[in-house]
Amino acid sequence: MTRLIRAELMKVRSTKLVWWLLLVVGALAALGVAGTVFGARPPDATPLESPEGLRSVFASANAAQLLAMILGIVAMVGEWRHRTATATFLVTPRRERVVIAKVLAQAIVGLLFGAFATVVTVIAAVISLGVKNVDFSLGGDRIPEVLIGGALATVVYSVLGVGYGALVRNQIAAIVSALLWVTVADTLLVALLPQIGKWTPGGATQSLSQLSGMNGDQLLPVWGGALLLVAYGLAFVVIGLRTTVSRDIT
Amino acid sequence: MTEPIVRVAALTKRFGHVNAVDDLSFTVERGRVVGFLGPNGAGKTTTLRSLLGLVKPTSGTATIDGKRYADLANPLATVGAVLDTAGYHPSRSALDHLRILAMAGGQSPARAAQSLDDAGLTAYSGRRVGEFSLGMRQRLALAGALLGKPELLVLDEPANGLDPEGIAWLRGFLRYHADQGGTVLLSSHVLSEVAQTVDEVVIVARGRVVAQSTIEELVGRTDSLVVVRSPDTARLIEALTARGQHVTPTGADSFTVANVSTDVVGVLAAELGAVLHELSPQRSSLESVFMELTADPMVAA
Repeated sequence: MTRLIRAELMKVRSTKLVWWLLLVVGALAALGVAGTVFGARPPDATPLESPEGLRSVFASANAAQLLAMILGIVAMVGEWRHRTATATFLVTPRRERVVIAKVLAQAIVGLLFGAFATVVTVIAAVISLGVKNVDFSLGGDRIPEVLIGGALATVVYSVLGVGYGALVRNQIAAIVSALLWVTVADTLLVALLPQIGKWTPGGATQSLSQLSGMNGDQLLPVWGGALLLVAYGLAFVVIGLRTTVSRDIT
Repeated sequence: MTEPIVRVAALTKRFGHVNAVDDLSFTVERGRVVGFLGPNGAGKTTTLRSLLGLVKPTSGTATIDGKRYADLANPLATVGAVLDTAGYHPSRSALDHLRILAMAGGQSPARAAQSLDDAGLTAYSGRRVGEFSLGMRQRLALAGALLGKPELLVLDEPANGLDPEGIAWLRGFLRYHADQGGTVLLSSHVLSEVAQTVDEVVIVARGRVVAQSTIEELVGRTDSLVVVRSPDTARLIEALTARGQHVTPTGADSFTVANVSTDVVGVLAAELGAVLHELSPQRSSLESVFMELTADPMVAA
């Protein structure tokens, strides 16, 4: 299995996409911090200096999640899109091993994306909040939990991407629909129908970041959000296995 | 008797309502170069992909060394396959492509460079595969098949996209592999393309095996023909047919006679006082035997 994971990581490294996505992660995290600190705040928003205001700054690290998901989708869909599935499954005819290796390799990549976003976010936050003379402590206001939760959620989104890619198999359709799902559908559900929205991957991620927002009280507790995200990840691993193992490759 | 290296037994694969492969059986003995021949759509690719575990048969089995492909302990070191010229990430380099396969298949990274060299691609190792010509991709596919130094090579239409130089190189390569004791199973829809390379042929049509024989046996099936051109065809055909010869008209002033010598036709023409413009011996080609074997009876009728 180690060999297969290393082979999957070589696939990721051997094209340039991963570096471009990482660049976008860094840019989005830094812009997210700057936008939250320097941007205009809605009149009913919690003040920047409050614990929740500070948490919203550090939640910018969540930018890594979408891009990690895209990379997970591309990793799986690429096998069909470029017809590399033939060679891959000739070398490893036990296809479930390939899917598991891909999931684990993307989980490693997701962790690196999450860690990178965290570093960029912390640096950008220290600078931005320093410029604004906002007093804060990196170890306080449950900020470490927000950062760790965000990085772990990134791992789950990588895994979701692999499973979703195995299900949809068309690169454009998979990426566009996944982005619409996470950025539009989940966000709307959380905002408008929180009793349903809190059970979506987006709702679970928000509960990890401990942002109350409009409906924060109705989100799951942190441990509930974490468990739900892991359950989503496992469900998509099962989907990836079911859709890949017995398929004819013609 | 030892187990054949390839055994396809009563293999059937149905796609929807179509039987792409229909109760197909054949074997390949060790050390042989076997051509797997048939027109496009005869079920060659589906059979080879079933043998390689990529397609799940509806019924029947296709085994290598008596094992299903998925049960092979080390597939890369047992079978090398060239199936698809399109199976590459376009922005990955040729060497990276092979390194990934070597890593997944438990081969050393050095094997990737050696295989690239064996396929004559060392000069292009750092180039993106997206920039490769069809012939270069075909060579890269062969390099991938050689990674594990397998005993058996399975190639699906390997000559597709190769220029004459590439085809000559491939022939030499397959001959060398066989001389080292290796086995080759290669498919083609053109018999003449592989006739010089293979020891025997398995001919399929409409998902079934219609013949398995050595090339020599197949040559034995060809007919000798006499081509006759004359303004007196009607009289000649009548006289020849009366003597039990098999005559096939080929034009207003020409016909062929099967399995007869030019002498017989010449003497007969002199007896009849018929003028001859042409009298020449020919052999029907292997290709025509192949066409006859694989002809669709529905279309021919």
